[in-house]
Amino acid sequence: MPEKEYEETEVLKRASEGDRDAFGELYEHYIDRIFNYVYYRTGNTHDAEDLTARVFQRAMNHIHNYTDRGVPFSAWLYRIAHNLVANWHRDRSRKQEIPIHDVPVIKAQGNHPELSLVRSEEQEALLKLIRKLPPERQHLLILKFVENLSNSKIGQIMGRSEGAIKSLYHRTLLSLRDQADDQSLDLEGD
Amino acid sequence: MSKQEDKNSFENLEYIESYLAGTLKSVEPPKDFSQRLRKRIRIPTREELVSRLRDWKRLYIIFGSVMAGMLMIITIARSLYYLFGHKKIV
Repeated sequence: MPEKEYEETEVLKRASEGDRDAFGELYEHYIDRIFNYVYYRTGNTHDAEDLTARVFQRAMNHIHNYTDRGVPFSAWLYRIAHNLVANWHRDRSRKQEIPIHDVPVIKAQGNHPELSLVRSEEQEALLKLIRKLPPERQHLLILKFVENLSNSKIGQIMGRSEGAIKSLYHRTLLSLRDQADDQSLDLEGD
Repeated sequence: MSKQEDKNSFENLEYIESYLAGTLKSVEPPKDFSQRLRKRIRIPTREELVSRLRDWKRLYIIFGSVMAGMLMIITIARSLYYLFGHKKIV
C-alpha cells in the first residue's frame, strides 16, 4: 500500500486515543514488515512469530505515549522490535542457526533445480555471515533488500542522513566480502 | 585510483549485492499467523492484570459485595433455622 494512500497520521491519532480498530489498521499495515525484520534477525519462524506478537503487544500498550516527531511510525515499531530481538539474543546467548525446515522459501525464478540447490547453500552461508554483522548493519540490509527502500527512506527510519546510510552500506558490503573471503565462500563464482 | 580503492568500489561489490538481493527476499508469515496474533494481542497482558489488581477502589467494592452476600446468606439460614428447625428439636 503506498504511503500517500494510507493516511497514517489520522490512524495514528485515533490509535493513540485508544481506538483499537485504528490500531488494527496499523497492525495490518506493518505486520509483514516487522515479521520479516524479526525473521531475518532470529533465523526461524517460531521465534519470529513470538517476537512479532510481543512487538505489537508492546506497541499497543504504549501507543498512547507515541508522539509524532516527524519520524516514520515504522521507526518506532522497529525500535521496539530491535530491543526485543536484542533481549532474545542475550537470553539465548548462543548463536542461532536456521533449522533446515525454516529456510525461507525463495520464489521460483526458472532456475534449474540443481542450480537452485547450490544457490540455497550459498545463501544459507551468506545469511550466517549477515547475522554476524552489527544489528544496525543487519537492519540496513533488511530495509534495503527485503523492503526495497531507498537510502533516503532508510535514513528516515534509522535516524541518519542519506550520505551516512550510503557510507554504512558500503562498509557493510566490504565487511561481508572480507568475511566471505575469510571463510572461502565463493560468491564470485557465477 | 589505486588498486585497493578500485577493489573497494561499488562497481566491484556488485556481485555481493546480487547475492544479497537473491538471499534477502520478503518472507510471508504463515497464513493463519495474522489472525492468531490479532486474537492474542486482544488478551490483557500481565501488566494490565497486575494494574487491575492494584485498583483499590474496585477491590473494596468486590470485597464488600462478597461480605454483604455472605452475611445475607447467613442471616437467611439462621432465620430459617429458628422458624423451622428449632421447633422440631423442641
